[in-house]
Amino acid sequence: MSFLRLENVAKEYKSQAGSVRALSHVSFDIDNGEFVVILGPSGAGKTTLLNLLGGMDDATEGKIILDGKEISGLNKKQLALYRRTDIGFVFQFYNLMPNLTALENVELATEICPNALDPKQTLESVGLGERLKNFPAQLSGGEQQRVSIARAIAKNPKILLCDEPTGALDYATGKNILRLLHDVCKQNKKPVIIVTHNQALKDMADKVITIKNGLVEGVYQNEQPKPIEEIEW
Amino acid sequence: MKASAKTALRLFKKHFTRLTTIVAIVLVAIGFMAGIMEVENKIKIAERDLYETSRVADLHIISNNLLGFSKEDIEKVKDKFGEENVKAGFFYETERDGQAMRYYIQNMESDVNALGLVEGKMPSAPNEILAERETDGIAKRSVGDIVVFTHPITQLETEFTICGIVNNPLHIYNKAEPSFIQAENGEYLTLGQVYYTNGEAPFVINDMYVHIGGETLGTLFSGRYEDNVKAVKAETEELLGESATVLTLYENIGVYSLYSYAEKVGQIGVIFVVFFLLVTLLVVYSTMSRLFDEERAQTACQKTLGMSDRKITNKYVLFVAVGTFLGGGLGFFVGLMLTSMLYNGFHLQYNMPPFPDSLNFYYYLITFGIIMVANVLLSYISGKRATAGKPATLLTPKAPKAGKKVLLEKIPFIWKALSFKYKSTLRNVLLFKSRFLMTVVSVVGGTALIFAGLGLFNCAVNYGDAESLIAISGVLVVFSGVLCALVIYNLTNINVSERTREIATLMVLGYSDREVAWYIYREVYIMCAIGAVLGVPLGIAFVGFVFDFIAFGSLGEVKWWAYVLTPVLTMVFGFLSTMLLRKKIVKTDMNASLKTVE
Repeated sequence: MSFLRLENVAKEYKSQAGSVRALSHVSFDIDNGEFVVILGPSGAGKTTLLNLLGGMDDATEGKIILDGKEISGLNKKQLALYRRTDIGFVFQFYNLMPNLTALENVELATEICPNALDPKQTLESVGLGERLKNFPAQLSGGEQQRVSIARAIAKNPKILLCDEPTGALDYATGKNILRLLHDVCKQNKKPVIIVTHNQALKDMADKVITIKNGLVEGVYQNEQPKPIEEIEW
Repeated sequence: MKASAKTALRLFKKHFTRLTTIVAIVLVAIGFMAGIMEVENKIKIAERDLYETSRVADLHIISNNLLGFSKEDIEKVKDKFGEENVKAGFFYETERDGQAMRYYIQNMESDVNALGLVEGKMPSAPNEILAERETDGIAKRSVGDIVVFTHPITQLETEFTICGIVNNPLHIYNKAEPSFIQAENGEYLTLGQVYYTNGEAPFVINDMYVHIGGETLGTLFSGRYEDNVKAVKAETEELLGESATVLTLYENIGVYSLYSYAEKVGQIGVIFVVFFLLVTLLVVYSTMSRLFDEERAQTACQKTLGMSDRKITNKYVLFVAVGTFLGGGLGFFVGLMLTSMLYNGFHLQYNMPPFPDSLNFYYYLITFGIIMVANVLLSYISGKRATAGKPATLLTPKAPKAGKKVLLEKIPFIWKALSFKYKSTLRNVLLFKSRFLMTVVSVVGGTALIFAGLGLFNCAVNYGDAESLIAISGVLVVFSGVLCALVIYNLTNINVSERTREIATLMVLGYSDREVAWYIYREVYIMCAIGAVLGVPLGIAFVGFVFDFIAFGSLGEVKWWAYVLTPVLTMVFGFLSTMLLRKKIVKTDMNASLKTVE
């Protein structure tokens, strides 16, 4: 059985104006250590999918199984625990605590994780050994995103989820961040899932999942992923 | 509907909680400020009414001669002031059971210094007599009781039946008053019984009451009144020579002390006004600044459309003005209740005239005016700051305040021992200094007032019949507690809305609801605790000052539990108001907060 499996997952949002089906019939498998890119235009439902994987929202239908554990059907409290131990998140807008230093931002995550890595070493591994005591406002965008990645991997999660991680960065910095994420994936042998609308990124992925109008349009394996240096956009 | 009216209406709907906060703080502030200040006004009005309707004597002239005034002296006084303004009679004091009994013969046809009938009827037969109402000194007498007088020379006994209980407007004080009779030890006997019969004094006239009043003197106890009445007193003394003692209302312990008491309440009121005004302005200013921050994008949009800064701001000023108006309107009723409660509290020491139904709400209008002007001005100021930037700058989100190291970090053995939660809390507390100051100042003041309320309660319980004072202490505790709660609610609310992103980040990292709520609460409780602890010494100083001022109670009477309960109550009020916002915290939408720019 694969490391992460989705079976016929659907998500419906109910509001006073009626219900909107954001996702339906989503099924795919992801193996351990895979670098996955989920592609799709805005509004396709890819963020919804990431939310379901990350335990930030619960599926209306279907099953999500991570490492043999079923996520779908967990209650609010269990979902919080799942996010705490199993998930690492990286966002477009970093979401660092402005009043904590880089090191403290990582400690914020490791303090509540049972199998956490050493925060200082993790920051050193993403190249921020000199920036431990700086506040987010004293760091560049790329550096902030590195802190955010360090925070996610220091939790020692089962899977790393990234929502448009280069969306707010310039071209060169964006490439650096992608390389970092790729390295993390390969060194730790843990799946990294990147959600993006940037078509160019599909060439570097082990697996590409394309989403359109709430449906999985296609899933395919790249036999020979390109190194990030060779990708242009 | 015009678009501008629509956006204004939506502003009220969207920020209903903020509007409620403004209404509540203005309500509490005006209710309390005006409620206390208005007491002075109402007592003065009541006293003036009594002075005019009972034609209270401005001058009380007592003969020093055993045989009373000469016929010429009486004529001179009547000529000077007009016959209708003078009541001439007889009074006599004798010892009975170690106390003094006073007996008046007065012409009750005269309306000068008229006796107020409390119970029964005025005398209509020669054997009917009136008794003064019960006070701490004067014994209780009832209608129908028989009083026997013995003639000092003939020793003949005469029986009288009490037909009514009255209150002499010069005897409104409830405490024991001395008589003119000196005991062997040199002290004056307490006045224990006072009776009045109707009629012309048969032999001796030794007691005259003169009501001058009106235009000639000016308003009772005004500066002009004081100058005039003292001049008239001097003239009268000159007119009658050494045979008479002339007393004015300034020498009357009842009437004048009530007046100066009212002024004292007004002065204490000023302290409250300053404090409550300060807190209100702090709350309104912080609320409006936050509101402008949240409406930044809209402000930018309106600016790009070419709307003037003034016009953009006007909508928010209207928001504040409506909130202040509603709070002021409701505060009027709260204030009126508080005023009548405090007014009735004076029954403990005085025979108060009924609460005046006058429509004069001098202090209410003043406090309302001050708050309205200040709030509108403050919103203009914060509006000017919020609309000052270029539209392009305003369209980008406001940069969060950068984190900063605090002094404590220089002491590594303390700092290292703290968990990141406390590090973050301490940095936040010290980063938002004005907010910290606002909260601590308000909580310190509120705590001091809670202590004052409890202290007053302790003392009031010691005086058996001080029920209404007990009520005042209750009012004080409730108002100050509500004030603390409002300030803390407001602060917490601002913190929550400002930090939705941080809250969402914690949630995504897997923090539980309780841990997330505590992230916000921790710093609120720290400020609250600092305020609660500092509030007690301030409360002690304040209570000492107030007790001194009103000559009631002492710090020694304040029980130990008041010192403990005060900070506990403050924390309870703080706890309750933060609990109200728990739902808002745990309901934070992680996606909406994390994935948008702002």
